[in-house]
This record gives sequence, structure tokens and C-alpha cells, in this order.
Amino acid sequence: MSEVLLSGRLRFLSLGDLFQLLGGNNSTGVLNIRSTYAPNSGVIYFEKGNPINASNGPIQGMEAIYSLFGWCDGSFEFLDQPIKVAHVIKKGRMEIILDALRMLDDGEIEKLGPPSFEEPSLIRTGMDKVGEIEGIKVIKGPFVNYAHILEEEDYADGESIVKQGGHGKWIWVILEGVVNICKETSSGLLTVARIGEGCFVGTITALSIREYARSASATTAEGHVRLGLLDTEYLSREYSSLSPDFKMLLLSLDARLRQVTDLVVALSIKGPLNEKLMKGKKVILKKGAPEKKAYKINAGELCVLGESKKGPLTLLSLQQGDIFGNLPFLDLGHEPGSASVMASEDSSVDELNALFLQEEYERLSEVFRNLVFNISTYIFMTTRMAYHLHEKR
Amino acid sequence: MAIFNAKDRVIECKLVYYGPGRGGKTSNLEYIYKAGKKYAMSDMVSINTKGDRTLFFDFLPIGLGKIRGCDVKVQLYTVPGQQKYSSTRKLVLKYVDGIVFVADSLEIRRKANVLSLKDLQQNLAAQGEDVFKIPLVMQFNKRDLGDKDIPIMPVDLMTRDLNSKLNAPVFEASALKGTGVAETLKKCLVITLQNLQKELKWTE
Repeated sequence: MSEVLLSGRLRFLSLGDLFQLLGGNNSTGVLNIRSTYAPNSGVIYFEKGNPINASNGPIQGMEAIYSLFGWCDGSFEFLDQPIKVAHVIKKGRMEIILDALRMLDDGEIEKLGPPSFEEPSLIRTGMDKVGEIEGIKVIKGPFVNYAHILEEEDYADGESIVKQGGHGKWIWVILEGVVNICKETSSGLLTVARIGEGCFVGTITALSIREYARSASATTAEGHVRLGLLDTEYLSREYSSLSPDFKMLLLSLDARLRQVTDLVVALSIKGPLNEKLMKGKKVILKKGAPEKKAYKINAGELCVLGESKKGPLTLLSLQQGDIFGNLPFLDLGHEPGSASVMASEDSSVDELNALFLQEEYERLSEVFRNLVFNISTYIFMTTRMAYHLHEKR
Repeated sequence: MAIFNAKDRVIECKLVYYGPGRGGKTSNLEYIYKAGKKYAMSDMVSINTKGDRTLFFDFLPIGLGKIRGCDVKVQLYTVPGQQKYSSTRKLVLKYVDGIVFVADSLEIRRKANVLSLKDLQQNLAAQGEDVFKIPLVMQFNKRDLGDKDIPIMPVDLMTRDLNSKLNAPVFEASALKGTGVAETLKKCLVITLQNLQKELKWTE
């Protein structure tokens, strides 16, 4: 297997920077790029520091390189690999970089990155066909590190991986293929998410000592799927070494995901919404406010109020032990940037040391950090789907 | 911050020509490229950004000698003036080592000069750099137009406008003809390398 020489996030080191770095180093190898927002990964071949060929799905060569400059967020890996592809790119790297950036600024290259809820791409990705598998965009995760995989398992098309309500503490990472996450509803099985390479099946709650039922969802393979079974014992050990606040945060994130998923189900089967949640509560954190702090809830009832184009939508409720506020390392698409928090009169909250939480996040092992990143991506995408359904309601 | 390529023993430093659109940044670079073609290590890259072209090339100036056994390679860039080219500007200004500010001597460009200098200060600040600390040379370009009865600003007025606080070395130039171009570049290189040595606490 080829060796990973360099890896990281495009948010930190952009493609332009990478080109210069690999160029200055006269590197030969393959640059793989993956974005949560793209259906396929991108590949650029370098020989002695110069790009010679590339692909982005069906697009090849120069055009593929330009399109990849639009990936502002994502992860990359540079592999030490002999190059066998045709040498089709003749332009120098600096010209490519400067030309690509001009095209990006002139709007000639489509920008892929953290989407805003208002983005019209929602329609383009076909989110309006919730329930029909083809319509839902596949979520992808960061590159898979094989270090903690115990076993590989293969599933055929349509085969069930996890049943709703079943018990089990396994967590898998998807190595190949697409997995559908479904919910049993009164009007049949509803696909709430499609997840692909680098995403996880199973949640962090499974690592806590609590008795755990797969409340979340049933999952089935779409086409051939290969999963990697993770060393849960290793992950459990890491989980138990975390601070109480961080554990609380993880469980609170899981609870958020469960609630927004339930919201999506309620919206799509046109079931009742929990509009009473807002009653008797006052806004304590306004959407878009420059909130820097994070809080944990000691008492009372709070709720997170989002906003679709149609108007306000109560996303979820928060209780004692839940965490809210500004957690800059997680992008949920909730408060403080995109949602408000309301609280009942009897609520009491304590400020958390967000810096400690962030430091703890950075110290997590790669696989654990990916798990956490994964939950926040699910929450983001599910919230986005809820808004879209709300607008159509 | 210059890039050290330990493998090839080369220090790459980056000089950026900044200034209002059509003020002569590209003329400077074109002249340098033509005059010093034998030292150029790459073709000149020219990107058609609207309002102003973006140019790039790198060269190995002779006479600079080696620093600690390393050759010094210089990358020269111009920056597109238009606001919307933020991605290009960000990349070009990242790790910049020295700046040549090309001011336009035409009277009607007085305001454009000041705005561009302010813009430079902001864009540098966004990269964590300070316009007062970074090696900077000021060039008052298009001086020759005065001979053709086109209204140009006197040097002391331009100095007051642009250089009263900066106190940067100033050169008068006519970049189209090449007058003052080499002097400007040379001065910028010298103070950039001096600054690098100071920053890295090197003593000769």
C-alpha cells in the first residue's frame, strides 16, 4: 500500500498553498481530496512538483484541476505512489494557481464548502425528494485510518446492517459504498440520510456505560458495501478518559441528532410538530449574536429555535445536562450563528470553559475526532433537510 | 517569511508590486522580465484579471551572492487591484517578504493612490503583517509624462500623501521606458534581505 506523506484539511491549507508546497518540494505522487459536499473524491497527479493529470468524477485533466479549486473545505492526502497516468497538463503550476483563483473570484468555478441554509444548491442536490433514495445527497467523512479497524465486513445491496430498536454497541466505519439510514414511520420506511466512505454507523452513546438501544435508525446497504468494524474497546477507553464536561457534550450532541431526525420524520409524514416547546420561554441567545461562550444546563427547559425560509422552526429541546452556545470546533448549523436559544424562567445555566473543550477536542485520537465531526455533520445536514421540508409543508 | 528549500539549498523570497490599477505595476515586471531574461527561471505567467493583469515569474538575480551557502531565488508578483479578486490577493500576499508600492504620478490618480495604500495596509493586516514593518519601497511612476504637459503631481505632494508616515525609500520612475525600474527592485531586494537576516538573527 502507498504511504501517506502529507494529510490535512483544505480549510487550513488551501489547494493553492498545497500546489506551491508540493511544487517547491519537487514532489511526485498522488493528491487525493475529499469533501463532504462532493459526491466523489478528486485526484491530482504530481510529477516532480508539477501537476500532470487530474480527475474529479467524470471530469479529467485541466478542467478537473480548476473545478477542484472550488473545494474550499475538505480533507486531503498526498500519497507516495508511482505515476502511470498520461501527462496531459502542460501549464506550469503557478499559472494554474493564479488562473484558477481568478476564475474562482470571477465566479467561473463553483464553490463547494460549508453550505448556508439559504443556498439554492439545496434544490440542485435534490433534497426535495426526501423519501426517494436517489434524491438525498450522500454525506462523506474524512479519510479512514485503518489503525483501529478489527475486521472488514461485506454487505450486499438491500441487506440490513442495524435494525431500529435492536441492541448492540458496535461502531463501523464505511470503507466502500453507501449506507441508507432509515426510520420506520407510520407511512413506511423513510430514508433520512445516505452516508458514504469515512462515515460512521453507530454513535458515541454506544460507548457510554448506559444501556443502549438503537433508537436512532435502521441502516441498510445500497449496492455493495464494505464496513470496517472499529475497536470499540479502544474507543471506550478513550471515552472514559474524557472530562465530564466533554462526555456531557458528546451525549448532548447525540440527543440533538436524535431530535432533529425525529423532526425530519414528523415533517415528512406531516405529523404534529412540537410547537408548545416555545411557550413560556424567552430568548436568551439571539441568532447571529456575537456569543463567544458555551453553557451547560443545570435546571429548567430550553429550546433551540431555527429558521427556515417559511419562518421559525423549533428544532429541539434541551434539558439538564445538555450543552449549548458557541463551540467553534463544531459546525452544527445551530446557535449562535444560525439559531436562537430560548429558556424557561426557572432555567439556570453554568458557563463552560470552551477553550478546555476545544483543547480536548484537538487532543482526541483521529478516529474519535472523526466520530465527533461526523455527528456534527449529520446534525447539520439533518437540520438542513428539516428546513427544506418545513418550507414545503 | 521566505521559504527555505533545504533540499536544493535555495531561499525563495517573495516581492509583490502593489498599487492602483493601470499605475505601472505590470510595466515594471515586464521590463524586469525582458531585461533580465537570462536570469529568469520560468516563463512569465500573465493572468487576465479584469482591470489589471496579474503577473508572476521567478528569477535568480546575480550579484546578490549566497546567503549561508544558499542561492536566493526571487518571486515577483503583481496583485490585481479589483476588490473581487480576494482569493488571488490572499495567495499573492501570503508570506510576502517585500513590497514595491507603485504610485501613479497623474494628478487625477491622487485619490486612487491613497486608497490603494490603505487597501494594502488592510490586506497586510489580514495576513498578520504590518505595513510599517514590512520592507517597502515607494515608486512614483510615470514621471516622464510631465514632459508631455500632462498634469502630474510634484514629488513633495506625493510624499506628503503617501510617505509621510511610512518614510520608505522613494524612487522616481518611468516604467514603460525602464527608467528607475532596476533601482527600485534593487533597493527592495536589499532591504528585504537585510530584514530577513535581522529576523532570523543572522549575522554576516
